[in-house]
Amino acid sequence: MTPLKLIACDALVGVSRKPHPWLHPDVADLQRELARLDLSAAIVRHRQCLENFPYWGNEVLMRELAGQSSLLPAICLTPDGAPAGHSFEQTFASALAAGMRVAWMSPKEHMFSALPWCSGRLYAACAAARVPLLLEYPQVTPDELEQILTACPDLRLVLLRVPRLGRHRILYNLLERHPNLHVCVSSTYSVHEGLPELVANFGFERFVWGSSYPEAEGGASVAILTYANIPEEARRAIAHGNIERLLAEVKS
Amino acid sequence: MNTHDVFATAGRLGRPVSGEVLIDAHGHLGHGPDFPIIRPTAEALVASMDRLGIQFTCISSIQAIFGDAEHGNALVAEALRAYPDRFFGYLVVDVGYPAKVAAQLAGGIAAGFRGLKVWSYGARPGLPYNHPNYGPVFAYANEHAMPVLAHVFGPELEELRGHIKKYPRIRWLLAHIGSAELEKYMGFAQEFPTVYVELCLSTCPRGLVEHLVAAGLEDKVVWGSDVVFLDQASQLGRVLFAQIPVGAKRKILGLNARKVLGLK
Repeated sequence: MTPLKLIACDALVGVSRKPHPWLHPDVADLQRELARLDLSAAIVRHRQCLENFPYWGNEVLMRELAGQSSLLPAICLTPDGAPAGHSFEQTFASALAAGMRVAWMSPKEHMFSALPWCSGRLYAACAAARVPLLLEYPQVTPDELEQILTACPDLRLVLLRVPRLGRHRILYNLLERHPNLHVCVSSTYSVHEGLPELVANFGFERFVWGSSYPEAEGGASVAILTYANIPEEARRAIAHGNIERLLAEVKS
Repeated sequence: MNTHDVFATAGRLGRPVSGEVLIDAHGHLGHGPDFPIIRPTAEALVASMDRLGIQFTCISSIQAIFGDAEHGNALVAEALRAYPDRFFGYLVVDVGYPAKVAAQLAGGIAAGFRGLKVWSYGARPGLPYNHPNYGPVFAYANEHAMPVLAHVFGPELEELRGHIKKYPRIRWLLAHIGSAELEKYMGFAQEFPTVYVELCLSTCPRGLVEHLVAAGLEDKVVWGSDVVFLDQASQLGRVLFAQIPVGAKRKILGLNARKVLGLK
């Protein structure tokens, strides 16, 4: 039997200023994880975008991922754009021209509001180009998510690190209200019967998969998907098909 | 090291682990206080166990832990009656109300419970383990040589130290290693022959299982999932794919628990 093709949508590469006692999550380590868990590819953010200036982090990411065909860079964006001109539109157009297929933002670390009055141009640009925007769930409040998705219904927002809160009282409402909201299912969403219930309620097209690299054992995320009591068509879509479709639909 | 051993291969293919002893030492039935749990029933749990290849899950009642031992334990007792070959019951007693405890302990044994679950404090209020109300509870467990699964998130370790020394017939399962105070957890497992550390943790720290085995603790680590709070598969995946010898996986996933719990 052929193992399921898996694409991890949530990798965060780069060592922290504060060393971990046993982890050293650089690009070589990530490649070893891909090999160990038999993953086909990963969408990769860089820790330097969090612990250093975000646009500096993007440059580090592009440098380190050069020639790594299985690693797809995710570009960190802020609503003011890069310092050269501080034009978001210019920053976004340059990134798109350079091959950006997926973006992410981190409003808490980068001290901006995720609400449309501050970040609306970022959402509008991503929506127009169909660039999936990754966002960690703890970065925003539920009310902020509701306002973002209401104001920008075409935005393909992909929530990472969604917590394991059973039949999640916030997530279910958001998924019901916003058809372009996507969720990355990984070890943080360790919910008894959780994935089957999501698929039964909302279909399988809006779920992608992540390995929670580097903090979590990737085998936990693998097992959530391989053992889930869902149809094989849904499993394959979540494992790789949905993210491949999203990336293919980006207008470059 | 063992990427393609029998455990990792089963996990990667989503097949039940077969021909091995798999015991989940930390499970629950019931709804959580913070959020509703999807199908938190004995039937759904057995279905999960069958998908993964788990023979036994050791369960306590969430409702009993959070204040209604009498009715909560009854749900677990019902599951023990329905699936006597699949569940091991941990009894929960109302430690805050000592007048109830003796009857609850006796009733629990009669209903087929074989271990105790204690939960001191954390997301909800409760009594620390060094409160005198725990004395009769642990004395009873010691008298009957029962395993005790203790919820621990770090600070509670020191509150248990006196009991561990005083009651040598109890086999202690200290839950959630990796949550905090890792070195202290490991120190307890190394210092006390009756102490075992249990793995379930939602954050699934990468490298933790390898770290414990490298420290010589493969005989003192017991796998648990915290189902139905968590997905049993995710917690199992932490060990299936761990980069440790296959013999260590066998111990952690079942052989150690069999010894601690007194299962055949």
